[in-house]
Amino acid sequence: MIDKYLSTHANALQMRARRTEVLASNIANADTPGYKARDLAFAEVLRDVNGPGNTNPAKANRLKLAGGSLHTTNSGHISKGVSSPNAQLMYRQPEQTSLDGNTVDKDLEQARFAENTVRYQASLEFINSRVGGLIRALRSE
Amino acid sequence: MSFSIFDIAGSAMRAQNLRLNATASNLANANSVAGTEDEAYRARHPVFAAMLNKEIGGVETRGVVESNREVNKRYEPDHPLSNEEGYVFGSNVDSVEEMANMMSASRSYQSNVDLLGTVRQLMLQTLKMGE
Repeated sequence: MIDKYLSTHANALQMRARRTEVLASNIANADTPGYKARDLAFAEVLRDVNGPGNTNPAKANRLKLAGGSLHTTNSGHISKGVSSPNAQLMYRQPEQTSLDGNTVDKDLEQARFAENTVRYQASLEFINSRVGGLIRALRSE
Repeated sequence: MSFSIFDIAGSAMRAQNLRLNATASNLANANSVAGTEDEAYRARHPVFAAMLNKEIGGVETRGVVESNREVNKRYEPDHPLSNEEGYVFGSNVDSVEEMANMMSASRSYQSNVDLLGTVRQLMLQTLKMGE
């Protein structure tokens, strides 16, 4: 019950943390010849789960954040969780090509990092308020 | 959030610091001269490579290579280091290139310091989750 109560934001938080690592790696390798910038493809997963035959928005939302490429088609299936978010690790399409084969755009990566940070903090806030609500409900007064 | 981000940003800072050191050495020796072509100072540049032990990772320095551009050979018979024919060999450092390198390295270093600060704050906030 409590798992379900917190799971959406907990999953989102884990995905955001993972994305922070990926973006940090991009920024760290901004001057490495031949390095290809990577990112987690949220949109791709969203398109997959919003495809035909999946009309339940709550389920789609949960799958979007669940991370893996496995789909649950029966309520008895065990969802895969965030154990392998690697499945969505994609290479970025460069806006401009550079002579040394590096596809990192420093400014874009920093903007995405800032955006990801805000979203991480938002998920954290949601969890905090949910925990706060839970504690208020448990109090005897 | 795992602690590997500190390693990633740290490795980038170490790499950029090495690049700044190489640039400092190159700029300091831009006007150095030597008596033979072999002894002439050649610009040094670090070679960066991504750490490929995992899917994502930091930067490592594969080594420092010397520029193979022509050294600056000048006819200065009065120079105490000149050879029998009266030539001295200056460095092959391009000051403009080194200045651009320095700016790029310091910008990258700053990016990684900022990133580290942000991640540190996020982790501290995460520690207080549910309070």
